[in-house]
Amino acid sequence: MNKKNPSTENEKTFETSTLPPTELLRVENLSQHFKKGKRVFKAVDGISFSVQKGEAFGLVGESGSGKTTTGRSIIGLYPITSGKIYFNGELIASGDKAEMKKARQNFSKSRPIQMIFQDPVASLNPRMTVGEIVGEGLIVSGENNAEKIKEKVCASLIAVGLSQDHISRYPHEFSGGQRQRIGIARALVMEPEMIIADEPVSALDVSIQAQVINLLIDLKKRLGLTVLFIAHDLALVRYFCDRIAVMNAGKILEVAQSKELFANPLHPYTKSLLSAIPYPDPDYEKGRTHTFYEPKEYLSDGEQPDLREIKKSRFVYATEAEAQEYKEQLKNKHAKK
Amino acid sequence: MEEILQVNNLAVTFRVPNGNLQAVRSISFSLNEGETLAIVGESGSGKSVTSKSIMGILPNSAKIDSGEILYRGQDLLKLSEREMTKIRGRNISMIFQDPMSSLNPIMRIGKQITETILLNHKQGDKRKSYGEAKARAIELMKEVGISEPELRFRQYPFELSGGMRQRIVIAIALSSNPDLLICDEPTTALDVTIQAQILELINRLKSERKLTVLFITHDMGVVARMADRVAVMYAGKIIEYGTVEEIFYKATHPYTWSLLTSMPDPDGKERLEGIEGSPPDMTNPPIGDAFAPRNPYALKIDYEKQPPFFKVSDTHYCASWLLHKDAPKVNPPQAIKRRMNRIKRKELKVEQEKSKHGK
Repeated sequence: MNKKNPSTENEKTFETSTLPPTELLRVENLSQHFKKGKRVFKAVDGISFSVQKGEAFGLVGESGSGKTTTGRSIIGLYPITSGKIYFNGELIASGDKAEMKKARQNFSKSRPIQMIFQDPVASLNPRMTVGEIVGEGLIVSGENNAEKIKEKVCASLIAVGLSQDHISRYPHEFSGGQRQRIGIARALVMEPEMIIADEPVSALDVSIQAQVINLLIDLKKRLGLTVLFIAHDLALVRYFCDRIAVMNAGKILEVAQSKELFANPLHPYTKSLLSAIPYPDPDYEKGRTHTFYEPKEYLSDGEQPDLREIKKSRFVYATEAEAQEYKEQLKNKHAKK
Repeated sequence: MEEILQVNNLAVTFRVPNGNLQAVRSISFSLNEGETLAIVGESGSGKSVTSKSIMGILPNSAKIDSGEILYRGQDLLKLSEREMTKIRGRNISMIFQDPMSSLNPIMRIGKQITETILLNHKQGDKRKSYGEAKARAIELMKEVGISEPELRFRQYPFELSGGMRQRIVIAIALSSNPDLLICDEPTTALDVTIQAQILELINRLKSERKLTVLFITHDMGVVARMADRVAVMYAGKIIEYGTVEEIFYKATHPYTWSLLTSMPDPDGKERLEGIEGSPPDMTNPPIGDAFAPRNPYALKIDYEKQPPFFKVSDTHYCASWLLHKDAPKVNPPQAIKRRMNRIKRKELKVEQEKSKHGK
């Protein structure tokens, strides 16, 4: 921890300018391209961000924005096309093959990042008992004391609001919300430093959604977890995340504190996303207008857009000229207040 | 206002391996011409089964135990399959959740639309040629906001995006000019920005074509945007119904409160409140109020006897023992109270403005 990487210190990426000593995860210029025949599909196209220790960072976007691919690339489910991913200051993934080999060896020894998946039915093996599902990670990582495993599994089940009697039951005996709790217990049992939650509640009913979100909030507080929360539901993400990055078509378009993002969205795409969320309030709904987002074409010989800092810890994907405009907008807004 | 649809005491059960699942337990509601009624509930509440009963497309394992569904005075449950086919599409149309599975993947878009048009104009002087049907299809595609309809006409469903596909499904549903449109979670599979467009489209078509809409959804946000009246379902029963304002600002049922507080609202201050526990097993539904075990306000009688509908206003009814004259007074959750107060303040302000202008 707290190791600053000297080679990146002078780089002018936006992350280094605000680099605090408690950075847990750093993603630099991550690209993930999939080849489909001769066509190359750029699922993630050169994104950079960092997650602080103890922070809940939201990665929000619609389907096809590359948010899930980003999560999977971080945890190493795909070899990445290019870019670098650091965890706790150590390189864990790289587009460079030689570097990657070394990074893999480093990373596979411990399992400090765990993942929670979207579909609580598909992500649990129906032929394994809850005890086996939750304990499997421990066995794989070399634990062979059955007593110890059972103890840890029970503790983790209790932590997510299930009981130790559930240990010998099968997934089909549980409701959707409970199954997602099993998924969370499976992640917690490894005592991770960071959890990547990929749409953990979108398959659940609203009342159950709130239960699971509250559970995640409590766990995060109690265990001091760092969470990368991947979701499409911007309204829900606000309840959980300190900072939010908005993704579209493989690029991050805006990064801001949750409150700030909702109060003063800058990028047109963020604005259109915010205007589209339906709220359970007919009076509020009546006066609303929706703005629709048309992706802007940037001329290849003109100035290229990039993620630029508008103010402290506030970034928008824009050209230099547009960034100036956004700065003005923010100033005017504050002046009005 | 004329009643276009009336459902009386509808009860539907499903045969399942461990008994009979009571999906819909004697519900009644009516739909007035030109309005949007939203039926809202969580999965398993029976809202989709209700809409499928109206369309007469329940699976074989389902049985309608009792009740009647009156469409302009005619009981749809007494019609033969052939007579029902005439009503379906021509008078009542339905759009479903997943546009990919309601379209035929190996048939061109154009054929899927013209097929419906030709089928509906088979006999007599209404008979249409393929050319006429095609012209009509293109016209419909334009009406639902599809760009380059001539090109899309020749394409297959997989070549279109999710939002486009749902527009095609809507075009097919409208092809024979129905007056009642049933939308069963039409935007659940879509992204929020696309959802906003489709909802806007449905609202536009509703006013242009003077449609009556039955809107099935689990999302209170969508209800707020679409509905004139709302019926809340839980465990196969309607537990509260009223105008959209009454349900959102004057709700009296604890389940409606929980539905509202478990969703993010525009202020987004408090923690969300979920509902502990999960819905009951409907093969063996509880004797009393099905929501009682999860209801923090539950009374003793809730476990013994099902509550009848209590009248709150002429348009607002609620099935909860809390409204009985002998029941203790309870306080709704903070978030609900805040919302109620905000609306009261707003109403007061409007009145003050009015009286000012009056002077």
